[in-house]
Amino acid sequence: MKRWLVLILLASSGCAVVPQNRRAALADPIMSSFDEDSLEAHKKSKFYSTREAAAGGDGEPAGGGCGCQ
Amino acid sequence: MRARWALAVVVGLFACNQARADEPLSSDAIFGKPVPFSIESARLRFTHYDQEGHGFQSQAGPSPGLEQLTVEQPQLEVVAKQGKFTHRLWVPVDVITGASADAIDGWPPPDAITEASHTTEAASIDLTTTYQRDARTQLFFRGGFHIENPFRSWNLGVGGARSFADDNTVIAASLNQVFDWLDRFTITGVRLGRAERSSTNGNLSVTQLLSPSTVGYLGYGLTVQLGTLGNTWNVVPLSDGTLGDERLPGVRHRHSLVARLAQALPWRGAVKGFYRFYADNWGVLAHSIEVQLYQRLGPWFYLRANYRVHYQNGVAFFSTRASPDAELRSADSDLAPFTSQTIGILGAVDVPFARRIQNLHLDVGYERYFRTNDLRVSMYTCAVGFRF
Amino acid sequence: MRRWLPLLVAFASACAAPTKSIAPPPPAAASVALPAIALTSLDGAPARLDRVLRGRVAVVSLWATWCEACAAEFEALGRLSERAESRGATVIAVAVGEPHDKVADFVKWRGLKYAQLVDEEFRFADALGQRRVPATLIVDGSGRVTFVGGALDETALAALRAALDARVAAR
Repeated sequence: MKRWLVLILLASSGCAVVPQNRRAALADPIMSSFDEDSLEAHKKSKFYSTREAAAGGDGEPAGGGCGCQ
Repeated sequence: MRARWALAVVVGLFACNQARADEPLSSDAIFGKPVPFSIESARLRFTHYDQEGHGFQSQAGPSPGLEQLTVEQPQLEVVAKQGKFTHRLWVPVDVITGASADAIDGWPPPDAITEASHTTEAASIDLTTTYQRDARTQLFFRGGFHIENPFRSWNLGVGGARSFADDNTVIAASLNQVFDWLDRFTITGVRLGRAERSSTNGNLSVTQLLSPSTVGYLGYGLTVQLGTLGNTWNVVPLSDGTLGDERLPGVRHRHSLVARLAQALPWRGAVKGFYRFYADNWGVLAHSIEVQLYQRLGPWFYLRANYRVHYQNGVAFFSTRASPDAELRSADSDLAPFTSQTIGILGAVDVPFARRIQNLHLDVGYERYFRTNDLRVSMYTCAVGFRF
Repeated sequence: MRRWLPLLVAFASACAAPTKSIAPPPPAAASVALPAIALTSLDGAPARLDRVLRGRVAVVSLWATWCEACAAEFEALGRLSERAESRGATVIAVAVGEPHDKVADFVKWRGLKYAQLVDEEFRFADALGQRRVPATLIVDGSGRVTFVGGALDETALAALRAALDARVAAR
């Protein structure tokens, strides 16, 4: 596992370094997050985790926390 | 002599005034007094779910029972800044009608769940405090509480994120612990006391700028659950024609690997992709893929279309005609093999202001979810948000 | 000695005058000349920063319309611009990487009153080796960059005061 982590970090450092002043496209709100906002992220995460067997990988626990799971 | 002292006082006073004359370029004069506490943003989202379909999450049998319900889900989020600390208060509420509608069939009327299940209210309160240790490092602490009938839950979490290479790479890690209490019911609705469940979760992720218009993300999450991992009153049709209780393992190890990509498009659009691979020790293997397409129509308005497909092979002990002697058995349609799809559309407006309110956000969306094992949900969502 | 004591007391009190909100000047950095690269004014006409400065001490702020951290310092730059004039200094903002007309519309909408130029192709920023926004430069009276920092902060203000004091001392 450690070897993979080091490899991922090395690969990351080898990727193109985008200077701060060239990030205009990334500053657009439609690019700023993978969901509209954290409330929509929760809505999606809860909906799918309570109706499907798969969950997690998005920083949240894959189960527990409500009576629906 | 007295004249010299008088002169000294005058010179001293003049010098003090000269020092004050430098103050127009002082930090206080330019930056103003630091504000100790300020509200940064407030957002309210409301979602309505309309579900129809059939499954075995009820006492119906041997045929699947009705799983019709509606959910009203308001959520409130307020973010405040206090020096190097940012506090996020989040309050989601779920009002569920018709939950566990067919669960009870016994006499005498077994419990409050019969009436409570017609409308169940659930609410949470969650506070996350993030500390900006320096320009590249953040630490966060989180605590929350959830309550509903017949369930309550506590959660604690810690984590951090560090950026590298001029913020081109961000590595984040977090640890969460959730502890649940739930009432234990038989399938006829008799309460047998309380059950417990623990969920311990760790996450590690890397976000990387791949180009001036591309962001990538790779994340791994491990969740270990112990205890009573079902709701205790789910039924399983048995091969002898009767109904039995659901029997689940007391341990679940859940692995999720998520990859994401966001790409800005030259015509003021964006495309985002999401893939999750999931595996657990109950035998579930699942793949989820989602694509979102954004298009700006003018400086303030944009549309989003999304499509998601999910495939899972179901838990190893899933059966709708289980053996009465089976050690493990479940007919929960959420744990069955199926493929699901979601299509959706959302329109949003972001209006910038140059005054006290810096930005107003509004959005309205609709999604339709449908599964191959007879479940369909329509979701209507809207949100309003302010940034100050 | 006794005759000069009162004057010594006056001198000491002048040195000890209140300076609680003024940070000490930063350590001296190697200074570089301003690049002689043409910028663009808001109406599209070519402009040279060194000619716009006309030998004044200046705060040059590199920014972009999409940069939220830059927007957070607009008010401070406005106050600095008003107060620096009295000491013969000036504030000039250089927007990087955007068309001049887009910057002009943004400046008008936000009501920014201090001087503005545009570095449409990043040539000025690249010549200075500046990849950040916001970035704050202090330029002395001879057109040399004596301080380079990120967002406008206490160290940038201290560098500005040091440049102004050096200019007074040189006269």
